[in-house]
Amino acid sequence: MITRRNLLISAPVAAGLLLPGAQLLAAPGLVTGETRIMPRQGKGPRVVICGGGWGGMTAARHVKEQIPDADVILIERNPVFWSCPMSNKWLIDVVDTDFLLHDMLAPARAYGYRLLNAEVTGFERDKKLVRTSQGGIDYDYLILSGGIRNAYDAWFGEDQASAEYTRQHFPSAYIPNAEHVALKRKMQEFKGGTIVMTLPPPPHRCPPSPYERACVMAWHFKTNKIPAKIIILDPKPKIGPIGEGYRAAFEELYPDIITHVPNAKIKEVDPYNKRIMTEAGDFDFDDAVLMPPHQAADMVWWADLIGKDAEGRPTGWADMDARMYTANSDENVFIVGDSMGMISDQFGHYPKSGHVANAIAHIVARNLAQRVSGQEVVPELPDNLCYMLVNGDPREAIAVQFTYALAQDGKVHQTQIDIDVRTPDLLAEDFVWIEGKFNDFLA
Amino acid sequence: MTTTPPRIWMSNETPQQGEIVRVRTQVAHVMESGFRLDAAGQIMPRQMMTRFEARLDDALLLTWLPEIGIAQNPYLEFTFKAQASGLLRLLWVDDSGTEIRAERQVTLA
Amino acid sequence: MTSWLDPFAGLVLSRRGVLLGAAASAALLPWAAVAQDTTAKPQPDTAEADRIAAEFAGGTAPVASGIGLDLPVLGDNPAAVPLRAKVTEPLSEAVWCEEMIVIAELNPQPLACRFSFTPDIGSAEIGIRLRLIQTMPVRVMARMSDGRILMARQDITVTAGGCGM
Ligand SMILES: Cc1cc2nc3c(=O)[nH]c(=O)nc-3n(C[C@H](O)[C@H](O)[C@H](O)COP(=O)(O)OP(=O)(O)OC[C@H]3O[C@@H](n4cnc5c(N)ncnc54)[C@H](O)[C@@H]3O)c2cc1C
Repeated sequence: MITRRNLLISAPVAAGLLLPGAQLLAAPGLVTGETRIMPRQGKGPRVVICGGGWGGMTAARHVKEQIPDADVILIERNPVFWSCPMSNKWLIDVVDTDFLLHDMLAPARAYGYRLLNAEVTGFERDKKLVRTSQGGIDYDYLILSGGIRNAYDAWFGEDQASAEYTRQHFPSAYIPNAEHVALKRKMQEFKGGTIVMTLPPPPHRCPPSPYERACVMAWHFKTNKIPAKIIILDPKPKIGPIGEGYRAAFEELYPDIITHVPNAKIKEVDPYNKRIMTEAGDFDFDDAVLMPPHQAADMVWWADLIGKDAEGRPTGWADMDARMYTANSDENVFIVGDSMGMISDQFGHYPKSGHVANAIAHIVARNLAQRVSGQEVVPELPDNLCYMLVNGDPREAIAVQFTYALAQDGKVHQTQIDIDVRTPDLLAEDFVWIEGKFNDFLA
Repeated sequence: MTTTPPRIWMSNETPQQGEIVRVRTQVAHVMESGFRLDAAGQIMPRQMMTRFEARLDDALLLTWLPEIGIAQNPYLEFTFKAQASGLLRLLWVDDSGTEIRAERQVTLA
Repeated sequence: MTSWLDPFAGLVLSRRGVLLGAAASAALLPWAAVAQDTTAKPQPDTAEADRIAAEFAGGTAPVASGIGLDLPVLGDNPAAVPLRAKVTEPLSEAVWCEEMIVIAELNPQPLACRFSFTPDIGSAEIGIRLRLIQTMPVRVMARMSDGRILMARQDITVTAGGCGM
């Protein structure tokens, strides 16, 4: 039952329409600043999870499993789940749309949490309240797993028109939404010419996947004999991770299509004249996949939990405890997934991957259960694994694995192992991997 | 010892006579150096891949003796000149005597 | 406020060492590393590397040519630095490369690996991944069947990070 304690009815009343109560209730509910929705269920703590992607869906299931009497609410703005992992492979139909697109109601029913299809619009952490497009929801614990935002402002400042134009014409397709569909259509309709792909500066979502996208697009153009060139503008000095595997793929499979330009830090983007100025030169393009810098999801900014660097500028990522995954300024807020901030000065951020989001969500669920039951909270470390397709025929993939360990200096250390021998069995393992993950959070 | 198969990539399984064939290999192995400490401060016992060899049928092409300066999950790329058809036979051996084997047929075009 | 709303009531946070996530059953590497602390120490200088090189050369003066060495100037992942080396001169049944060594000069044990080739291979080109404990020169030496010793040497800067050694 939804109660709207402060439903505003002033408009129809002022218009002199004296409506019977029943008809009033049938009118669309108006959401105001005072509206509260989703009254508490049960006696347990209320855990509100913002963002129903890889991290949020995993957290929703496992928090409910670990704390059975908890009232778990998952808030997601999209009506369905769309997986970014495998979405590059989907561009060349290695998987179909049904593989990526999933109903979110079935997992909510199966695992016993409540799903609210709404946009998170802000927080009042002093009142332990989340604001959404449907109304306010109070919480005892908050888990933020909103993924990333596209920081077009880093390119265009206050010029929202250029950001809008760029997004509409040269979508980045790095956030689960309709841009993937736009990108696939663009690729399929491309008749020839130069495509520029800008890579965000690190840290960014799924570091190896822009190169994977270049490979599958290049394979599409090569197979369909479309005279296309792909220029990868990379702010890094070289390809990585899996740099050698990608280098071999670019040189051996797509020598006439892919050009990788290192040290191409963006100076200026002119989407109207299709021109990009970088530290490695200026580039004209016919079409583009323009990935602006990534930052923590807007919701982390709205929650006022973004870190600050030595000069007091925002780091763009959550200010959080590297071992407990809680906000430094609010121990009742956990940050999961790509929004997470700096972990260690040895390697910076955990790779912003679905694998890590899933692993951290598991850990946070366990840690929260330990807290709620008054047990010792045992900090845990994630791992990471990503498989990347580089060839469409035969379908060959490469991979990268990261392991983490706590050193005696108390810092987390990372070991990165590239698997850069491209083989079909790595793609087979990718399917085993993703099916395991899907089974973990999709019913 | 390992559940993961060796990764093998070959530039051409049906090369021309005299063609240089490129082979890339990678196996899962911890390459524990015998220098590292575990969480309790104890030395982790050495466990290294110590020998690799490649043969075409029975003829030895090369051996490789990795030491602790070689990365985990050892990667090895090499080339050979295709002079006859045969079975390319790859073998890895580690400190504990465990062997990993892989084979690829090479057939001259 | 009920007690479960007071999250840190009676709570002891533990930092008691290392716990890998349950998900750490990585398919690619069955043995996940559990610690990065090491007793391995870099060499103070290139003396040990020079000794290994002299032993390999066996009294012959190496010539600094004939080997193509492909090593990044910057190793951004010290746990796996790609190195490719190739004897660039034409090989034949008369002259081939018998042996090749890679010396990571300041590693705790500088000899990184040794290759032996037979004349049947008809080529001498290899690619490996080094783990490097710090910034250092890397040397590749090849002994040819006619007795010549070829050599190539390059400095590599390694960024901070675990090399897993
Ligand atoms: C092309 C591509 C390929 C990739 N390949 C891999 C791979 O092979 N392996 C791998 O591990 N990772 C891969 N990734 C990375 C992976 O997609 C992300 O790391 C992962 O999704 C992060 O999880 P998350 O929960 O932090 O964010 P997301 O999964 O993006 O979820 C965030 C959710 O929050 C919702 N949200 C955001 N703001 C609001 C709001 N205000 N109100 C309501 N809802 C909101 C979003 O709609 C979204 O559903 C890939 C990514 C891309 C783009």
